Amino acid sequence: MSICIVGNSHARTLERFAAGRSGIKFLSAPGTMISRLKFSGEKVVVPDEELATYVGVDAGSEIDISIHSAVVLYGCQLVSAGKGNGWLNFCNSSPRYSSSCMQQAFEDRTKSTIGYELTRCLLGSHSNVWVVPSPFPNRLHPLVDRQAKWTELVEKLRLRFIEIFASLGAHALWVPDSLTDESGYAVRDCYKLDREGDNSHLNREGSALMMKHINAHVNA
Amino acid sequence: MNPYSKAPPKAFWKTAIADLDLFEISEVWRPRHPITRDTSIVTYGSCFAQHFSRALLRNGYGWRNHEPAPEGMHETTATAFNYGVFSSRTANIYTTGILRQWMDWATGDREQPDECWIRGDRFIDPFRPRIEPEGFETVEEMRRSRDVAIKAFRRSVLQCDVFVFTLGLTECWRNVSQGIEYPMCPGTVAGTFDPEKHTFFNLGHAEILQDARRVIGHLEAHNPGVKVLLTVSPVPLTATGSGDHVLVATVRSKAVLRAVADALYQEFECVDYFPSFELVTSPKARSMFFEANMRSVTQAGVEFVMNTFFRSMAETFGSESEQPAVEEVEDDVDVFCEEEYLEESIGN
Repeated sequence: MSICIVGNSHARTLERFAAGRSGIKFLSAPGTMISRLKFSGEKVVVPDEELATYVGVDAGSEIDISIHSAVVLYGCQLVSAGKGNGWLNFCNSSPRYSSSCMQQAFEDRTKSTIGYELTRCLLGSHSNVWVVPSPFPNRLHPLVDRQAKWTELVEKLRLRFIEIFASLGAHALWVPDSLTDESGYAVRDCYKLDREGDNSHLNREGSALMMKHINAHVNA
Repeated sequence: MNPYSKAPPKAFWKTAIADLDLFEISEVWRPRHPITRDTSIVTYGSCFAQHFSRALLRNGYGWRNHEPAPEGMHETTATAFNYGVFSSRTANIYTTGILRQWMDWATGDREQPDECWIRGDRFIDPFRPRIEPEGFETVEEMRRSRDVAIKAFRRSVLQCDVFVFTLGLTECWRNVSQGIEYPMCPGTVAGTFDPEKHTFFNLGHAEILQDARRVIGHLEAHNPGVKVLLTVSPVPLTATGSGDHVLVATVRSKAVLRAVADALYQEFECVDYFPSFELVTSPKARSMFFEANMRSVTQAGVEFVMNTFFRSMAETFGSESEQPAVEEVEDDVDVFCEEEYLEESIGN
């Protein structure tokens, strides 16, 4: 069993801390650059030099993803885009909206991400595609509402997230409970990457929990 | 020599209407107050008011949305949830009675009622029965949502330069004992009709004028210097509860509303009247601005009305208001009109 994890900087972080682990292939590049991947049958084509540098291949290379038992799309703006402001503002604004409205807005947001588009492309190349959202921003993010308890809302969004990708034919996971704090929409501060101003990425311990979460489901 | 001798061509039907092509008709409106792209405008009223806000936005005017949709929501979804339709999520306000009600809630003169309608396992706001496509999950959610809308409505009243209101109907349903008015008859979209509680009214000039005066009084008290722009919706009634033929009821309703608008124009310097009703229903238009149902106004009709609006501003106030013609758009956005659900509810 081997898996291929495709994603942006979050996948890169995971790759960094999972270096040397067998059975995992990473295809990662920063930000929206990853959306430049092309798909041809069961192959992923890395079209340009810049992207190829990040992926660690030559430009124009074709990567056969069919050799992996599963492809995991990780991050790529799903749920918590950018520095997480969007996600935090979104949840913080929830008292102004009905639950149905929030869920519908969440669906619209999700479907407009590069992660959603990449999932559609990946499903044309592989039959076992898993989708894992970026981790929530951590509790030290200035927009995290310390009084917030969005667990009920986040649970509904989780179910909607799974539904959205199930309708495409992909399996979707959510940010694991082991990472989440009591607000329900932020990651515990102990999993913050030790980099000033970075409230989005996971540190080694956080990455290990995320990796364990992915393995537990994808390899089940 | 007589009083008509020196009257301009616009004063005579022949020279102002009969001899002209429809699109040559001019000087229909001489606006009282300038509206520029810096003017903060809010819009409320019946279905036709929705066209007004869209046209203002498309032409770069300062239409204000005080209750925006959640971040990331697509425009079509937002419209389905009634965001961006009016300046806050009041839904259609067909009568001055309902407008007064919103104003009283916003100013704290009256508490909002507790009433809630139930449809299946969902909860419906009697004062905005189609505000959420599926209704609310809980009573608390419905009340919280209405509270948000009232606060947004209040902000819009306090912060606007121009308050645009489209007068729609004279007919309404009230719960007299509780002193509340509904935008829809209970039992149509949701709720239960109770003849002991729910009473039909076809409001007259005096009562509508009284409600409108109260609203304008609130506006002037809370936002000194605010201007009010009134229009009368050209959209005929879907149904009448008056016992009259719907055509007769429609003309009665529009005539009363038009007369009220004029009375307010005469009484308040801050009030202006824009003749969208006249432009759409003029004999010169030969009903061409109505869809096949002879009720909904076509996109061409909306453009005609709004082009007249912008052109009149430019003609009266000069270059600051000189604007391009209303951009032609593929406007297939539905206009939300609870009133149309009357047809569904009675199986037409």
